[in-house]
Amino acid sequence: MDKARKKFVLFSELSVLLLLTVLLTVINGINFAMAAEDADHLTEQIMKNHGYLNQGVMDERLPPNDSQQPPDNATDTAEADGVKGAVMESSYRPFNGGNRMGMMGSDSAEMHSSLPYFTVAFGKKDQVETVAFRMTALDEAQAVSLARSLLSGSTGWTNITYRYRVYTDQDRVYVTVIDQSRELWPCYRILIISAIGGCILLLLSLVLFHFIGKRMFRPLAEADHRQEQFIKRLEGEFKTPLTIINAETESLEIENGSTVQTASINKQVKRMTRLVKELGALSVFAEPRRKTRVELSEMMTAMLENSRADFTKKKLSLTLQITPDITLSADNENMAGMIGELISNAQKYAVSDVVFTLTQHRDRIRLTASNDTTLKNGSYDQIFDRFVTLSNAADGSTGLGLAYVREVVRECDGRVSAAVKDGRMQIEIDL
Amino acid sequence: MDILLAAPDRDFLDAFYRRLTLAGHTVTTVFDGTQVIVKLSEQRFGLVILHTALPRIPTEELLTEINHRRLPSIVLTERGVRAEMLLRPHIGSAYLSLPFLPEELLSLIDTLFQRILSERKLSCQDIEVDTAAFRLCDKMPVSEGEISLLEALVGRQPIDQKCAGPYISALNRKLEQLHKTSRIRYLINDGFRLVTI
Repeated sequence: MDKARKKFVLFSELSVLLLLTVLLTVINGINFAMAAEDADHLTEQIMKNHGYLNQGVMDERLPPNDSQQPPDNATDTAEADGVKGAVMESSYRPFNGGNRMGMMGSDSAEMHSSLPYFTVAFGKKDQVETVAFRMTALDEAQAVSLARSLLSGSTGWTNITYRYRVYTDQDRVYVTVIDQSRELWPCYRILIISAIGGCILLLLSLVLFHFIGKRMFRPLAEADHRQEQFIKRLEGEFKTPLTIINAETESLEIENGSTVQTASINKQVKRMTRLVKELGALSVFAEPRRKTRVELSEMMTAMLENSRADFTKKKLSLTLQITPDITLSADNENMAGMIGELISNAQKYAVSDVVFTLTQHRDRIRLTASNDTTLKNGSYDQIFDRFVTLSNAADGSTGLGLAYVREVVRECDGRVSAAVKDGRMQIEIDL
Repeated sequence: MDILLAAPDRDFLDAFYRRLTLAGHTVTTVFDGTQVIVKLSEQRFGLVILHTALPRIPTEELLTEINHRRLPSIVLTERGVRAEMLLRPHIGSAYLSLPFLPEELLSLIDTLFQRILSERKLSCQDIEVDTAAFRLCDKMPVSEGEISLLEALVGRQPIDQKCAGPYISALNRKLEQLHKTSRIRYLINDGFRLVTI
């Protein structure tokens, strides 16, 4: 049950991770896409204005030094207001190309007045003209060099925060580059916060699932434990009465002679004895077991050779392909019980031939029991569940033998599977 | 034979009192560990049949007392015979798993009785077994199952791994503890044999 709980926590955590990854990727992807769209909107306006951001202002060139001198045609009104910096001439008309977000966004007047950008035009015969320049991080020469490097593109990001557009206007190729660092900074901040928040959420969800898992599986673990205890008690409660019935029936037969009734009692008691022994074999896994070095090759060879006469009696051919000197750490009696069950299963259900193999590859041991069968092709892993029998089940089959095999394999941290292919049932055990 | 039968279930005691009496034995029944100790001190018995689920006193303590009095014992176990049971300092002379047929118990009683009477010593390679005292190399206790296994090995008789498995495992470990060079191994085309390692 502990393994089931850990699986639950693992898969829940993976689901949360997947959902978070998808969600945050989509959110951040949309965020960056919208930033790119806003930047493209601005470069499109510049393109429509033949390389300038503001209508009516043909020359927005600023000297490439820190002091920003206002143009000669600065208005008196502007000076009276004490407005410093690059002041627009009186013929300036604020951009009115569609203010989508009102005060915010790429269409706002403040955005246009403060956007760092440059436009360089490349004409024939390698003519270069800096049409507009309003950058602080680059000088004109650097701007021209950057623009030249972007000629082969059309639009995109460059230098991480610059958005550019390449377009043709009156036989000249224009490259406009705008600096979106101010707009991108919140996007990156959101990305970082998403990543950190996502990690914190994952940790919190792990803790939460751990406690939920404990609470959820506690009733199942208790039910499992009660079932084990019940089977153990049941097994004990059956064994003594069965032994008593045997003894009393025998005493009856000695005193009064054997009758049909006493023969019938004996037969039924034998049936119940078999069931109780198989139930008992399953319940031993509730107790801690001591593991010792088991000579698996030797054990398997011994048991199979000992049972060869039984196979011959049932007209079954038995083939062994056992690699010698294979050992593993396990409970000796359980391993012998498992092999015994596989032998018994093969004897019951094989049509004409049985093959047992034991091989080792590095630290993995593979044991297979294969026999011809009348069953259809497919996976038959359900035969390892308790009380499950197939259509070709032998009379008196309890459906517990292979459940025991699975418990032994689980105890060794192994895997077991059963499948039919081309008329052969193959039980594969990996230890 | 005078048999002390100890089991927690009274119906079980009644049924086997009848069956063993019919077989010619004199049977005294008790249903807890304390009564076992009391009866052992009051009367001389030829055999003790002891159920592992007896209340009041643990089975190991009862076996210590029984072995101290050099009495043979048959231990009735609900769990099946396991090698760990046979490796304790005090063990029963024989083990029988529930449920069993009465004839199995009677056959085992006869076998133990024959062993005690024969006072035979079994020797093979560097192993010596006192079959009457159930001692291996005079140092370790052995059970009837292990003695039968050794006899089968000496007599080169076929051995069923499934039934004899716990005894094979227990004997090999005892031989290792006694620093003996003999071990029981399965040889292809030859079956289980005592080999020198």
